[in-house]
Amino acid sequence: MTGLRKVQPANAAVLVVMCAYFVLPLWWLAVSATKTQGELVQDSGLFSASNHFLSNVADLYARDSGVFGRWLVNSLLYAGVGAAVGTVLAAAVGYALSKYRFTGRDALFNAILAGVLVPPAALALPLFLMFSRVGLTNTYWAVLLPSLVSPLAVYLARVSIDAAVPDEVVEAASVDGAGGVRTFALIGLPMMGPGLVTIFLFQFVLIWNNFMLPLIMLNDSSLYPVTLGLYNWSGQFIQDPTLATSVLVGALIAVLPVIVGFLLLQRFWNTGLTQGAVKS
Amino acid sequence: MTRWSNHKTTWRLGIGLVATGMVTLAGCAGAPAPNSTSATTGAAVVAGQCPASDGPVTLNYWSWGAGYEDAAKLWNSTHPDIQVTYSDIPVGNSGGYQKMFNAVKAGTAPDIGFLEFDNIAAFGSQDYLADVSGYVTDAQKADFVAPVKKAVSLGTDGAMFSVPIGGGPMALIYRKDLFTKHGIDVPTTWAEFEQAAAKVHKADPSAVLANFDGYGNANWFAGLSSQNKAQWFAPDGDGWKVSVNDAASKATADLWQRMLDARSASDLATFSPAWSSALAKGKIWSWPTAVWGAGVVKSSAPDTSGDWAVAPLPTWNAGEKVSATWGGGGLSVFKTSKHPCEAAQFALWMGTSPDALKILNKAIGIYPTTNTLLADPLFSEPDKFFGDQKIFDVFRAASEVTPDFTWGPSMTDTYKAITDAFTNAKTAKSSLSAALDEAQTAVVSSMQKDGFTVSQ
Repeated sequence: MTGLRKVQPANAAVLVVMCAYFVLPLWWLAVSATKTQGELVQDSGLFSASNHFLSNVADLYARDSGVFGRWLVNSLLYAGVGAAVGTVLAAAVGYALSKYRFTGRDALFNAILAGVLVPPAALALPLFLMFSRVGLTNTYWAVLLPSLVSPLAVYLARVSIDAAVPDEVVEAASVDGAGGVRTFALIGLPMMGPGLVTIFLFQFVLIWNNFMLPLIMLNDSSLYPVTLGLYNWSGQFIQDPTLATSVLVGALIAVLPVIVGFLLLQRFWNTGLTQGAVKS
Repeated sequence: MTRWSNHKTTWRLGIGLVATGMVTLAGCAGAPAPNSTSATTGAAVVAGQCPASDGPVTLNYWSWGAGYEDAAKLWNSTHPDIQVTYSDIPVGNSGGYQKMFNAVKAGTAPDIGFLEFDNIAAFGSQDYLADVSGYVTDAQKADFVAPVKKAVSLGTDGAMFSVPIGGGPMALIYRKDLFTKHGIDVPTTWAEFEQAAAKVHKADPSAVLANFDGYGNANWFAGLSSQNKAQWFAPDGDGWKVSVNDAASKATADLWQRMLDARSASDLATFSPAWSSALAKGKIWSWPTAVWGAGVVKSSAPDTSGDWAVAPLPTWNAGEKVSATWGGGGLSVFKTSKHPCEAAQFALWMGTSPDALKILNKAIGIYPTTNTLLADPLFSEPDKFFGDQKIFDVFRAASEVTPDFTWGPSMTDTYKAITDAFTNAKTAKSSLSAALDEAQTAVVSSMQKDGFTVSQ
């Protein structure tokens, strides 16, 4: 820890500027969420004369017969289930790549690594065409299935297992008669704890913010995640300017789950990130 | 936003042929069987009956914006045999059209989709749309106002590749009180408009006569250029002749450039909070806009009620009678629909029924395109916000004199090229006219990349 070292004024200045850079948009969002449509248009962006936050929230949840609540639930479903299952899958693959020796293991790992470089947005259209062959577009599966797999998660899982689960432990379990699945589930998974949390959070945020895939896959607004729903509303400002307040309040509410998740799991996240940084 | 690639593959045969009217679209041009019983379409629709089908027909219908879903619900409650399933997709040029293209390629296109007038050619030229004129009675056809009928024909006399729902004739909305106070006459030509802009700026240096809306709205600029007889696209053999930088468009760009340079026109992002605020605070004194703009002004500047009026759009030559359009569109039936006749009945109901109009007008201020609906009292009432003026008289006159303008096969890309170039010009402080040259290059290369034969 470097907590005892004195902070240089120059460093502090840089930190303050960076902090303002990241916090100001959030501040603007929070302030704007308390304004009426009229104030939003006329007043300065950084201060609010009055507080209409609660009535704005009520308006938001009342709009289009409460579809915003539905979007939040959908986002939680996509991101929660997607990240949970995705983490287990990534851990299993990472475990296999770390603890088993088989032909083509390195080639496989490299292929997965190469997958990290492909932007997910580029895959959305091909996925759409494949999904429409099997009639799965415009369903929950259309967003959920592609969210379950992530090459970066596999990479993180392998690195974390390399570091957290010694080969000796796995060998000992095997000597004691535990099968591969049993060793993975009862020994591998618990031992990589913080790494799992890192992967889970990472996936959760990615899926929560995912926009391109739902945009291309979904037509039914009752299946939309928050990102796509708010985007659709924001395209309709011309027809209904009062949507602006709803979109702002909605955006503020939509960032809360991610912030809460980070705060709750922060200590795991910290250890998880540095895991594997040094070889013991 | 990130854009994704648009693989168009199979259109080359379709282009040009459709546009020059040489192709008869098999299977969708025939009139419905006259003697078939059943398949009642309800009292609201008078068109030919559709052939009998086994049980109720279900149609998929994609659109965006308020009102369209409610109207479909009303249809469903009165038409048990033809049920419509509504999907709310993103605004067309912001992803909605791309979604439709993707769906067509995947074989999952809806039966009915909302297309703005400027994008009908994009789908029609690739042979994706059904000509529904066979399902429309002659009386119904005659009821649509002429320029709109022409716009949906894509150059084939009598064809209907869309059933028009709402139009966007343009006029000049202005602050009558401020004009009067400062002795400024309502400009009837663009030259007078430029002089009036100078006067406004002199009267209040922090105010402008108008905002240049082209930075985010290339279709606004397209409308104003078309009024000056610009032609951006023309079918040329099997391909397209493209000229978004023709002399008329450049003259339009130069006019606004001069006002921007003199700071007598502003460069705000239209519809942004800053723009609304300027309207509300009397810092923008007029807006050349479409009929739906009246509603936007009302909601953006509610405290200025009574201060506004509407005049015909200024023209390039004194005494000319020519307007322009911004926005508007209709429902197109996709060729892959298994029930084109029923789909056309629904589209017709949306475009011609007073019940649908009531919902759509209340939700998004739709301005209908049939003479019958235009005779609705809704459009002859004095409007308090506009000092009790009957503003729709002005827009009605404008809708009769909108110019002929051929839309190209990829307007989403074209608009993107133009707004990008305009925005670059704003940042680099170069001219809008040079930006049009830049846009021309970009449009040509993006169309060539998509497989079109392009001449300049």
